[in-house]
Amino acid sequence: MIRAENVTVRFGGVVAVNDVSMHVEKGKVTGLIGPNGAGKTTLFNTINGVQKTPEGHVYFEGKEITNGKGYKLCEAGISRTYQQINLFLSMSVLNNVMIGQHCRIPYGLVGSLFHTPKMRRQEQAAREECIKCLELVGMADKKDLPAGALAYGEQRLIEIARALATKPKVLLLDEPAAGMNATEKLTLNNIIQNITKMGITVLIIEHDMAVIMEISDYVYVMDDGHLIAEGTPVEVQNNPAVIAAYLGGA
Amino acid sequence: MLTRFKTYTTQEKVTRCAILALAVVLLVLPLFVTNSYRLYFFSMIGVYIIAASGLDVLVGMSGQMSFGHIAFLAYGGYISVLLSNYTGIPVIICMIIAAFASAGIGMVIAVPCAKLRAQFLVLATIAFSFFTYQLICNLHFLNPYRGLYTEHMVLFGLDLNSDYRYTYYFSFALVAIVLVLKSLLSKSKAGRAMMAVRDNSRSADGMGINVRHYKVLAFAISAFLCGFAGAYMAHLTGFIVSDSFVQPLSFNFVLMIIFGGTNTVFGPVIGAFMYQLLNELLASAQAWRSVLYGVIVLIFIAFLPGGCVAGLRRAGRGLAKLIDKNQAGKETARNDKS
Amino acid sequence: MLISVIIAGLVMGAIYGMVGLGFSIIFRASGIMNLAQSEMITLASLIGVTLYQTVGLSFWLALALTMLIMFAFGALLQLGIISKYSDRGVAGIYMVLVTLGLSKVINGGCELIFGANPIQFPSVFSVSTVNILGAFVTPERILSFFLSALGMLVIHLFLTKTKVGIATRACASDAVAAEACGINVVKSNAVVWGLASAVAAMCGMMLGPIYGAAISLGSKVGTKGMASSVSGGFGNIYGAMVGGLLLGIVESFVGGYVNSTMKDMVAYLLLFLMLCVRPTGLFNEQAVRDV
Repeated sequence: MIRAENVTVRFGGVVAVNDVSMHVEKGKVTGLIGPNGAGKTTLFNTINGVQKTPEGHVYFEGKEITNGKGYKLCEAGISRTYQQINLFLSMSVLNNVMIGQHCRIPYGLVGSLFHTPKMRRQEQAAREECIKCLELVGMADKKDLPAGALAYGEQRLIEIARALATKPKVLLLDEPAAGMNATEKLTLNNIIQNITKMGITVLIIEHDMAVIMEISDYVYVMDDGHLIAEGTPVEVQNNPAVIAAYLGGA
Repeated sequence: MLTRFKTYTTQEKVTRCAILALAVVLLVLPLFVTNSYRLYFFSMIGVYIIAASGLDVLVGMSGQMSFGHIAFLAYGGYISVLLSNYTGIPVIICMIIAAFASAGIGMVIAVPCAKLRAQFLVLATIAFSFFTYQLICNLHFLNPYRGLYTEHMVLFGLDLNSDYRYTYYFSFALVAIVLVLKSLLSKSKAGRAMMAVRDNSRSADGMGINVRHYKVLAFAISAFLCGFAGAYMAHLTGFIVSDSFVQPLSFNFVLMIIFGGTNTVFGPVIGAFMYQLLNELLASAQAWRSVLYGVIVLIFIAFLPGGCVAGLRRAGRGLAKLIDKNQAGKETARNDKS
Repeated sequence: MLISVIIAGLVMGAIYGMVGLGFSIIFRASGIMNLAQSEMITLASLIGVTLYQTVGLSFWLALALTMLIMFAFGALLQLGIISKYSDRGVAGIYMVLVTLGLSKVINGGCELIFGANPIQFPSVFSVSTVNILGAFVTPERILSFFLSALGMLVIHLFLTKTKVGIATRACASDAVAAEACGINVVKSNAVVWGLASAVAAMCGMMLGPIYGAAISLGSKVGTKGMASSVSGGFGNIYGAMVGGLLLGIVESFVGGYVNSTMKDMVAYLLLFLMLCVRPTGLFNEQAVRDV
């Protein structure tokens, strides 16, 4: 589904991502783990077009998307959540999720200005779709609140709903469990499993080994910009390099 | 209509009643105010509301600041006046053409400007506005210092300039159209996208919004409205002169939306009324006016960033609560009796 | 003709550079585009002419006193008003508006105190013109040029050699880290605003003899100063001077050889185009891109 080949990203003299290649398989949950500052988020940003890279290639469904524009990649079917909350805080929860539907709503400026019958129909359909996404993360009852008024863990769930509303083929989740308590983490695991059941491929960054080992089918491990291991969760767990990075490094 | 009204919450009812009352008062006003200068004064408020609404699409909705929108009034005004004076196209059509031309100019300058960060965009709009003024002063066929006289606005055979009551109602109709369209825009895909760009342009990009496109669109819409306001202003006064378009006047539109409330439908209305009133009251005290406007901006940004509309909303919410409580009290009283 | 055009350009350019310097100092230190800077020049020139003409001090004493007064005024403005807004976390576009509101208050205040009519600035020297290579120049203009150069040098020394100056530079590059190192960021910002206001005082005293002290003075040269800052790379204080000289020369050539009414138009067009084409200016320091 997504293939990254020899991606390298430099910030000044620091090599954040060093010659990393990975493959995200369709319909599976792929995990990306590693200690803080390993370059996981930078790799994410490269896939979703936020970070430009002069070296390496990224392919999506066989087509090259290296250094693509963020909004175009979203249209193509790559959506994401952010490590830091990136919601539109002054807008309502429903409107946040409606932004996710933006590139799936066909009407244009004339519809926007005059609310033509076609526009009303499409808008209604989009709203229903969004409420479905909100129901999936269990937040439908909060749809009219301003996004800024929600708790941290809830905002993370709204981000997932918003990303789902873009009707992605691949969903990139950047540390979705950060700042969540144990119960919330459990709910999150259920949500991610439901997302895969919908046929959406998931690539997930996680800090918490326990979470990632439970839900991923395949795991990549990064440390200090390098890919140091890959394999099934069990293989990775017993890999000496990974143990060294987690216990010795951090 | 009435059955739909019953489905609203008390607060929505209060708001709608207030708007209706305001509209009715404004509609019957010319029956009592017959002084033609007063009517002209009110017609002019229409110009300000349209221009301020335009600026609000840019500032309130899409989060881009401009201190140079007076330039678009200039383009709209001069294009409309030149067209009507030299080609004989009906004035109303000239005004619409001028608005589209102004939107085009807005788009052309927005394309390079959309990549600038907030403060540099401000600088670019200031430069653009200064440039526009100087350009007008250097085009001698515009007779920039003495001014040009303009044709009358004729709508379906009715000469609007012949009586300021006509322009009053024309202003009213134009404002109503603009406000409705702006309200519709804010509840649509394009409006939402602009607000997303305002709140967080980075994540808007990630969510499939072409940020550049919507920044330019906001610029074009605001230039359209300001251009139209400029054209209307020229034909309303019957005269156009370069001094009406000096850069510092741009500040007044910003003042209106900050005072009334950004990203609201009625903010520009309240702002424009306040501005026109203060202008009239302090007509001879230029310096005090300048100080007062500065202080208003400073106070509103610090203490009431939502403007007057936010304050009124709070008041409306309080009133709605009071009504609800009253009704609940009556109901319990009735229940007690039975 | 050529020489007088070049000299006029250099003189105005040096002053524009000084005006731009005022914008750049504040922007570099706190990231605020201070639109009130132009009105600080107005205020300074009015205070200056009052001290010089009405009170009867010597030019140099009036200059020094004006700079002192303006330094205090600028520092107080930062401490009393601007810092309150930054503490509230007012967004960038509204911060510019705050400074614009301030400029309206200052401008209106000047009119209330000093009156709306321009005040003739008496000449500083007894000779009316000096002959430089066949071009006749007023000595005040020559003085302006050298004062600008001197001002630039003093500010350079202040920022690189003194303890306070180095502290302001530390705050500019990373306020949090500077705070952690024991630098008082609030004080440092106040010094920066004071410094920019003292620069404005110099500009006011140099522009007074050229345009006369009037409430329209600031708006006349303010945008030109911003243009200098932008073309030199906003926030780069040396760039502001180079940008100012460039702008002065271009303006002077357009005024001298094309049409004197066109020179303002060309200056504003240059600023606009510069922002469109190369917003980082000639000396790339600040990235200004947004998505």
